[in-house]
Amino acid sequence: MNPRADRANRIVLALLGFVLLVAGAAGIAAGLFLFGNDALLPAEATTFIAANHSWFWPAVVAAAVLLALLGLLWVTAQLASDRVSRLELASDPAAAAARCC
Amino acid sequence: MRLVNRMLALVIGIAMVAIAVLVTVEVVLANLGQARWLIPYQNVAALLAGRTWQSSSVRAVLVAVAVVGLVLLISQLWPRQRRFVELSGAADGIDPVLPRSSLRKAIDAAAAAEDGVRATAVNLGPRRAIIRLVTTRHDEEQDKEVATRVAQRVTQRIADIGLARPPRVTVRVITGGDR
Repeated sequence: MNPRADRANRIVLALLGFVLLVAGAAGIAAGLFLFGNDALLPAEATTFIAANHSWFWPAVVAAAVLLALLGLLWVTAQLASDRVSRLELASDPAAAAARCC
Repeated sequence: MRLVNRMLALVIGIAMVAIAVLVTVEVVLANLGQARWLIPYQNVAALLAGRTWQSSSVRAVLVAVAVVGLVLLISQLWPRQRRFVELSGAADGIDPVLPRSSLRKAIDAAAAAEDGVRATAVNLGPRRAIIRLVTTRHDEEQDKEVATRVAQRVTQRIADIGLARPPRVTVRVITGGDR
């Protein structure tokens, strides 16, 4: 296993955990104190999206592409290995021994 | 934990790509005036519009999200054992190390090789190696003697390996019987 990928996994998963914790806690707090009986998707939001659809949906697609790239990057990082794929053999054994020992 | 993290990374990474592709295709189809592909977004919008922040189902989901986040955060921040232990004799640019699992096996083998030991279990911490023994005898005095011999043998084995910071050896005996 690649130690760099392990470290990256740990950081990304910790960040993801933090984001989920904050989002969940914020949502619970919203239900308890802030928004009262507001709908999850208020009418203002749908009005806003309808009024700004010329840039809103392209922005959603751009965010989705970014998400896909990050996901791909993360998945490919899991397949990376730090093992040496090939070793170069010295043509002169004496020189190799001198360099090695 | 590393393997679990790797599996999580694969699952979440693939899910990210799948969600992104799904959203992109749906937005493009909607802009072209085509029928939806997989997401029934009218139903989703109606569902969200019909729920408030105080709905019990919404609150249950939010609590679940917060708990998953907390578990994930704690599991990642919890300190982990190093995979390698340092050996003495570090030179310029070379830090000799030994896999922790190999050290554990060496300790286990040394303990198991002592007379009167039926079974062993080794718990290897950063500063202490705890060896639990099951002896073949009923006699407490003899068990103490076995424990002393095991501690000496394991300490010697660790000294032979040449660790930079040898762990303290503790032996705990579970009195066995001839079976």
